[in-house]
Amino acid sequence: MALLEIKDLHASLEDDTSKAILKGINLTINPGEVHAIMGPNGAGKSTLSSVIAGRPGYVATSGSILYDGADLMDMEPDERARAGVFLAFQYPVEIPGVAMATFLKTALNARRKARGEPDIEALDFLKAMKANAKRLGVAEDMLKRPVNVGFSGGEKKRVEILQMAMMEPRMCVLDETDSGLDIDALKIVADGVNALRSPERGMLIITHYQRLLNYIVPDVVHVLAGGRIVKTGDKTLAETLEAEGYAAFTDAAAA
Amino acid sequence: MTETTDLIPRTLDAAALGADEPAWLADLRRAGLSVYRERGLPTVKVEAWKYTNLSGLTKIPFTQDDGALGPSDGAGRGALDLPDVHQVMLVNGRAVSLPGDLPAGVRMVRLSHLLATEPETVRPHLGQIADLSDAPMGSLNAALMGDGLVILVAPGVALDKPIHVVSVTDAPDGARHVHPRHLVVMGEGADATLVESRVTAPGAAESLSNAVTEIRLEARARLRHLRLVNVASEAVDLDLTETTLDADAAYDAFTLTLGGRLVRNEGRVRLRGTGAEARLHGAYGAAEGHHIDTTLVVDHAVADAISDQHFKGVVDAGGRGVFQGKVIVRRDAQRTDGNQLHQALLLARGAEVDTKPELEIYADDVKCSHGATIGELDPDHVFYLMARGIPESEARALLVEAFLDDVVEAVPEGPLREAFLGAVRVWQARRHAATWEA
Ligand SMILES: Nc1ncnc2c1ncn2[C@@H]1O[C@H](COP(=O)(O)OP(=O)(O)OP(=O)(O)O)[C@@H](O)[C@H]1O
Ligand SMILES: [Mg+2]
Repeated sequence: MALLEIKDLHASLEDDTSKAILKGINLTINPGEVHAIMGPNGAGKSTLSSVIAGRPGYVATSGSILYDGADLMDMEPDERARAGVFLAFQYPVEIPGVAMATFLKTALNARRKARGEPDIEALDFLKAMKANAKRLGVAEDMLKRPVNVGFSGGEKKRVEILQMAMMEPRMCVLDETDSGLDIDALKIVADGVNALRSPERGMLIITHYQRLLNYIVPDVVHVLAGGRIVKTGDKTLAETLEAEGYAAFTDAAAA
Repeated sequence: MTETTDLIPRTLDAAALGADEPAWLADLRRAGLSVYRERGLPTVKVEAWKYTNLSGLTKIPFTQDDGALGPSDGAGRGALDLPDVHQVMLVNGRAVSLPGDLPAGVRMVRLSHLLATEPETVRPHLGQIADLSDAPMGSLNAALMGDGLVILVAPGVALDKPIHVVSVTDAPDGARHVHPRHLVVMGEGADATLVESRVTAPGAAESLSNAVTEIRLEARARLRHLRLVNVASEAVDLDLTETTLDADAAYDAFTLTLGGRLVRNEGRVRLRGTGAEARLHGAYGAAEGHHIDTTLVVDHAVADAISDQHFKGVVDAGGRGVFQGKVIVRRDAQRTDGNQLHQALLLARGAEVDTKPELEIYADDVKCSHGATIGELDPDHVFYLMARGIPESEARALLVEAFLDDVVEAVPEGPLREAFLGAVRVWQARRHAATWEA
């Protein structure tokens, strides 16, 4: 069974359903596959990730998204997350007053509780957190600070991937995780993502740059323009785009 | 015509008040009676009571507490659970158990006991610290004052562990009004942490507690005064605490109020010694049917003193928060540093908050500020937490706790802070349970 199956998805803002942002997306991701989505600014990439995660304010006006056979649209955002859908945000928000470690532990325990498992042992949690922090080059004292508060752009992105590693999701959606990362950090984060690649797990990687895809080599590359997937190919498509830009596709989308 | 209740019967004879008490005490009662008779139960036309309406009290068939109740089953439920403290339980102001192992130089006694055995110990303080002439409910307390707790800490004595006063209001057999009167005197350089839990006995009928606490901090004395007000939805709980600080004394107050049909925490602080510092911090949670009023007056009478008021309120649909904060800086109070901030978080439509900041400044070289904000939970924050699998109710509870985080820091870290945070969590869980039932 496909891990994520998007069929003819149309989506818009809740406040303005007359203006479609996504205009018929079809996308199937099987377990073990890594898909990349590239596309010009404003194409609808983040909107797609928002609809998958269930961000309030966005509605699917038609079409469907099945995750592991279940209709995602019937699930609240927290249910989706507990079922194994993870979105690494393009712009992670700062939440003053909530310590990173408390947040992570609460999130992990919410998932365990839903599965009928007991809370994670404090020591096991600390160990896992420290190991992941080390691997992703996140200073331990950052985990004592409030969620994302005062983190640099790159630090926020690393911490998103740290969260992903802790949550062990089955379907990972990464929205421009590479933006804001310096060259060394890009490699560290890519290594972190690669370590999570597995035959059960699917990934959808949204990016503007081929560089990330040199490190996280995708199985499939899509071009999203004007709310539609206008081209699908293998990893060489990313190289073509890097060389030639989107002009050919945006024209196609407008036509 | 509907029957209305008078808290003081019209027939009460002033001459009969305090008949078997020392003359100075009888005078105190009569002074209170005359102020209260003149002003009556404050209405919303009285500026200081503009947002807090007591008129509902006249519809409750109250009788005055007789000071004879013992602790009922479960009395103290809802109080903080604190390990390693000197604990005392009061029922309607009267101590029903007193700790036996107090360190030398510390006394904790019933007011009634001191008045009967050594009135001269009380006389310099009782009614001398608080000026109640402009406080109708405080005056009513003076007239009708019942028993209360007296805490005396000798100069230079530092308490080994916190005092915890569990103050229970009970009305087992019909509505009662009660007027507890407490006194805290800290000698020069004394140091103590006083924790109070104000609760209602399980199953109590409607009640009005109208307490006055007088606190004197002599030079360099330091008091951390932490309060939890966790009274029943039928309870009306009025408290007026007046504190005077001599030179270099420090008063660190934190009040957490979680519910009550009508709660008013009125704090008056007089900084009358240079170098004195008062921090009045607190938080409250007002859910459906709850009205929580914080009214503060800080009076900088001398130069070089510091005051800081910071309260945060969390208000749900049908709840109401009131914050009135006043800073007075007298002519001589140069180089005063006085700040005031009230921040409210409205959890739903139909939540109401009224704030009235006032600065009265007569000195020219001062640093004063005041501010008030009203906000809601940020939907992006809620979504971020939910996107990590945290259910909405839990996400919102976490964010409410985060909102309160910086004021709760006024409580010393460790078991005390944990206990206060625990009370906030219970309150939140109860609120959510109510939401899901509805
Ligand atoms: N919350 C919103 N309010 C208003 N417009 C929105 C909102 N979300 C998306 N849009 C609009 O929908 C379109 C798609 O936006 P989206 O963020 O999905 O683009 P994107 O492909 O992620 O772009 P980028 O590469 O710049 O991140 C844009 O025209 C954008 O302005
Ligand atoms: Mg985007």
